[in-house]
Formats: sequence, structure tokens, C-alpha cells
Amino acid sequence: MEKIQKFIDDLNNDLENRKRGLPTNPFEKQKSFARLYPSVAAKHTEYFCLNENYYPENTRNTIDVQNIEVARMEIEEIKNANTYKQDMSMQKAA
Amino acid sequence: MIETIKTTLNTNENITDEVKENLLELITIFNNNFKDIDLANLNERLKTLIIKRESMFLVKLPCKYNPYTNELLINLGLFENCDAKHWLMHALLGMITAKENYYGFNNEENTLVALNEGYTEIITNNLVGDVENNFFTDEIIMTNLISKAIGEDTMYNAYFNNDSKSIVRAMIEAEGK
Repeated sequence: MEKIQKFIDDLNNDLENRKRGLPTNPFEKQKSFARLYPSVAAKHTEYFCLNENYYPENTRNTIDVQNIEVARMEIEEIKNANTYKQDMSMQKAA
Repeated sequence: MIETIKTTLNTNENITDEVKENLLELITIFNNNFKDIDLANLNERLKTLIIKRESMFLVKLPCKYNPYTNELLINLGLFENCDAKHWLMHALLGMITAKENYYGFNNEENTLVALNEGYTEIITNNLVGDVENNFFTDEIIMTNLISKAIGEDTMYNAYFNNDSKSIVRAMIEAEGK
């Protein structure tokens, strides 16, 4: 419950910071989501927005590109770990 | 129900005829796509709805609905250059699902304010299209992801029944899966 509460609080804080014109890192939230819900990360990778093109061109900077790459790698790891876990469960069931 | 709402709008002297027409068009679009959603709450609020200009320091978007005061607040500088249909629909969803000082699946403590805005934008985009460089893009992405974890029906029912607890409960139950 605490992890979920923190996740929700982080989403709210990001929105508030953006309203105030402060920088935010949405990719950190997507990583947090993947850690909380690894099977969604495995099955619905397409719903994660890890493309720098989703930022308006005039706001893209090197930090965003680095953040995207870190998020992409971590979500891929979570996805692979979840796929491995499911494969092992299926083998045991068989 | 649309005829009832039209009659109600006509009784509200705070709103110009042009705006009444715009609101009715948006309400009709909503009703055609969400036939099972009761509009009685909206009808009640339309009786005394006030539309007024607000400071750009308090309203960061082109317009914003305040459920507590039943006012539609306009940031004139942003409103004149925006996709008015989009932001009026966003505000209208607030009126349709308004309860006390919140709307949708948010609550008094603002627990789910970000997800609530994300979901409101998802519905708005479906009804009248998206806008360029949408301010709520991050919230839309997270809401989409969370709906995959807890189910779209859970989110839909929570939004139109002002039920924040079912969202949090579903998120806790789905954790780690």
C-alpha cells in the first residue's frame, strides 16, 4: 500500500510542478509503474511512451534522451524478468 | 434529457446564447457516446452556472470548472488562442461528474488529482479530438497504463460514480502482478 501511495503522490507532485513551470521526469514514473506492475510492462510495452518525439521539439534536450534510455533499459529488464517467471511457471505446471 | 437540458440552459441568464449553443452541442456529443450516464447532476448545475474571467495566475489552462462554486473560469489570454471545443468539453466532464468540491474519481483530499485529469483528457480526446502539445500528456500515458493494470471498467465506473476508493483498492490488489 505504501508503494502505491507514494506512486500516486509522485504523479500528483509532477502535475503540480509542471503547473508551476518546474522540470519533471515522467520516465521515472513509467519505471516506477513497471516495477509495481511487471506483467503489464511485459504485455503492454507499447503503452509506455519512451520516444523522445513525444516531447515538443523545442523542449527536447539531452537529459530527456538519457532519461528515456535509462527507462527503456529498466523496463526491458522488468519485462524479461516477468517473461522468464511466466515461462518457469508454465514449465512447472507442465 | 437533452430537451430538458436545453430548457434549463435557456433559463440561465448568466450565460450568453452563443455559449449556450456551444455547451448544448458538446452535451449532445457526450450523450450520444455515453447514453448510460445520467445527466441529472449536470442539469441541476446548469441552472446556476456562472462563466467568468479569472486571473492567469490562478487558472493555468484555457478554462477550468470549479465544482464548489459552480463556476466555469476562463483564462482569456489562453482561451482566445486554444481549441475551445476541447477545453470546454474537459470542463463539461467536470460538471457532469461534479460532487461537492471535486469531480470524477478524485476526492476531497485530492488523492487522485493527476489520474483524474488524465482520464478526463482521455474521454475528451475520444469525444472531440486531442490538442497539440497537450498539457496532460504525461497523465494520459499513466492513466492508460494503470487502466491496463486495474481494468478499464473499474476506471469507468469509478469516474462516473465519484469512487476514488475503488481505484486505490484495485491498484493495491494488482500490485506485483
